[in-house]
Amino acid sequence: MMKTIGQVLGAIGLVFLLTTPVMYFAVGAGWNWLFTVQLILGGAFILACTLTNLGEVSRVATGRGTFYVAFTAVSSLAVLGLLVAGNYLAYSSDLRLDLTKARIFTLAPDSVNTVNELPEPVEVLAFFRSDTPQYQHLEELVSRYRRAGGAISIQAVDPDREPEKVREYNIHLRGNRVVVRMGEMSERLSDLSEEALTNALLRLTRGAGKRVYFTTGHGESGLDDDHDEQGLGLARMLMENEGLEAVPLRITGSIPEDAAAVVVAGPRRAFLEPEVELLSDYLEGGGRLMVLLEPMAESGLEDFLESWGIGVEDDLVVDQNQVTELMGPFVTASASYAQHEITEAFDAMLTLFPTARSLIALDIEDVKRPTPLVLTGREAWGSKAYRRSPITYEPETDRRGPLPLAVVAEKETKGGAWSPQARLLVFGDTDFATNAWARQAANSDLFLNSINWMAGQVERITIRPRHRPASQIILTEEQRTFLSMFSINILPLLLASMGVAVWVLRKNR
Amino acid sequence: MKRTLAIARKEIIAYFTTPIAYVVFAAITVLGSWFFLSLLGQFQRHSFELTRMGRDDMLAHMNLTDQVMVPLVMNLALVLMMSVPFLSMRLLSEEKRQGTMELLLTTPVRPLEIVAGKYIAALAILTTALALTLSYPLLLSAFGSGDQGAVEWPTVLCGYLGLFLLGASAMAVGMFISSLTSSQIVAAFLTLMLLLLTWVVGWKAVDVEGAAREVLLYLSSTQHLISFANGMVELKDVVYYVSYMVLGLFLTHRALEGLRWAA
Repeated sequence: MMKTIGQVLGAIGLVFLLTTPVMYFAVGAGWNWLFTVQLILGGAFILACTLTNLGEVSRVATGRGTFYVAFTAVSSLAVLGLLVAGNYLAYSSDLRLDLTKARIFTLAPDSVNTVNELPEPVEVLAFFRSDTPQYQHLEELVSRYRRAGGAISIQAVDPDREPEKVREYNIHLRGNRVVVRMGEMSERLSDLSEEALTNALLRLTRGAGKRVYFTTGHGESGLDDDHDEQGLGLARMLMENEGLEAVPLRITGSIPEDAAAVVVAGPRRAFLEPEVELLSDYLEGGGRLMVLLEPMAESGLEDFLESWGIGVEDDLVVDQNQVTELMGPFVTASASYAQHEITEAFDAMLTLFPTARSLIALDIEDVKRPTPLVLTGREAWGSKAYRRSPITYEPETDRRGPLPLAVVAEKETKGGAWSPQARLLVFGDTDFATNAWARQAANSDLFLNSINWMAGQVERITIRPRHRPASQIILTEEQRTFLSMFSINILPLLLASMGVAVWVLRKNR
Repeated sequence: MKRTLAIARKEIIAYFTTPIAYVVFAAITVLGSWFFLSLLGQFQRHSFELTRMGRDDMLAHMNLTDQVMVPLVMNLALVLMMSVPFLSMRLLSEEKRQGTMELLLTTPVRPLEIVAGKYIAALAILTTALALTLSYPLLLSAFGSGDQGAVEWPTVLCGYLGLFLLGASAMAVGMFISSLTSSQIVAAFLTLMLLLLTWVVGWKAVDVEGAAREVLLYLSSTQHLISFANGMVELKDVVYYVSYMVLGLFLTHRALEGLRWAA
């Protein structure tokens, strides 16, 4: 009796011991004290079995089966070890053969060159759950770059589990969700293609120490002002996170050659004629100029901007809607954007502009009409007689919304000293980017996207996505019927009949 | 070698003179055709929509390889895993049940030759099953059209190579289980459970990160088919399936040796 109980316990003990490692993985919540209990119980049961069946145990241990058992155990472990080692080597080797006709899983030569010229290791942060098709596609794409010899790795960030990272990297789940990091710098992927990734790597390689100059000397907002509400200290910090260096610039001789962009942020005194001249030359040479204006202030740039098709109104935008009710009528809320790279992922996100003036996109001969980038709502209007109090809408002089608050102009400048494409972006407001307002609504996104676009390189590598040659299948009604009949009926029926025939023949034999 | 081939021949004849292989083949083609026809239907609806909307740019990306054959290969893997246990179950347990195993072991035939002979037969059956499903790409080729052919054959054959390796590794596992028991039902059921386990083990990967995720995904048998289905042969995938085969064959061999010792 004791023997039988011992044997039953032994079998249960074996099950306990063998299932522990499997269950450890299956539960996936780390080591639990219940596992310890399971192991101890398993060991105790086997011990009990051994003690109650001493006779059998000693017979087996001394019998000729012992050699077999020992040999099998040792050789099985050896084979298993070799297989694990072989698999590990194969896993690390990354060796693969692309059998597709168009070599669709092989990187373009430009991508191979780019990834091999990376000065530092690159990490791709993908804000997707690791089981989504997007992540798996991206993981496979990154593995191609690694296979080509690049120091590049990828990590999935589950936005639901790590919301703090989503905030840290300023990710909008409906916008670009992939960040490519190299050292302190980071870039966003515009889509999940090889072209986008290679261009992001290229920007990181070239973008090291990209400098954006901020003019001084006309009462502009200060770059080093971290505390003052009007200061741009916060904006400077945000730019540094994107790998852009903000440098003050006193316009004297000429615009520095390494200028990725020049920003005029809220001048309160007018620019002098020669200064305007310099900025104009800079822009004609493929420069990137971003001008942030304020109402009730002459910047001296009005005529120059007009020659580029951007008119500056002498007004103050008044906006009375539910959003801005609490902030007063001079804070304009905007949720309407042009189709443009800068505002690509904005959808209906709000941006806030305290005390703004409106702009006009003008039709000028020989100049491509500029694009109004940000528009006010319909409730807003531009008050010309803003010095009077109280301010009321004057139908004869005041323009009704939607009014442009930001206008962007572009011009091809082949052979320009700075770049082959001049870009001019004018805002009718400066405050939205200052310490007091940059963190409000989507203001920092608008500012950073603008700066990034301004400082962006035009040259980019074009990689045609490779895909399999197109094919089609057009079936007549009879063909369709035949296809269905053959595959789901005739073929299995034939096989089943053969089975039945064999069965009957065997029965009768 | 001669004895190995003799065993293989005897086994193949046994397969084709019993109804089970035909039943399994019929089941494979019914399920396979179901997947094939529904994927084809989806493809046609999609291209019809695109034509109606005048999206020629997107029509240029439509092809029967990506939209029908690649997913079909992945679906056939499921069909294969459900069918292999019923093809492998009789390999050794039948001998055990009929009592012919002892007889076989007392002849000069070495266990290695038995294992090899039986496995060759199993691979022949597997090849037959896969060959039957080749009718789907052949039908696409016959009725479809494209500048460079309706389907991309290198990719399709690469997918079938993957299916063969997956099936062969499943057969090796099935043969080992079949060597442990004299009941075919038990052998089939245990094999099915084991194969399903290697299939779903990757589902856990989404909960973990880093090395644990890589290990879990690596263990998953269908994960290794994805590259094959898309037209890529990766060393790690080949090594993975071959490892299962080696392990299965080795353990079967040990089990037979054990029977010889016990006899």
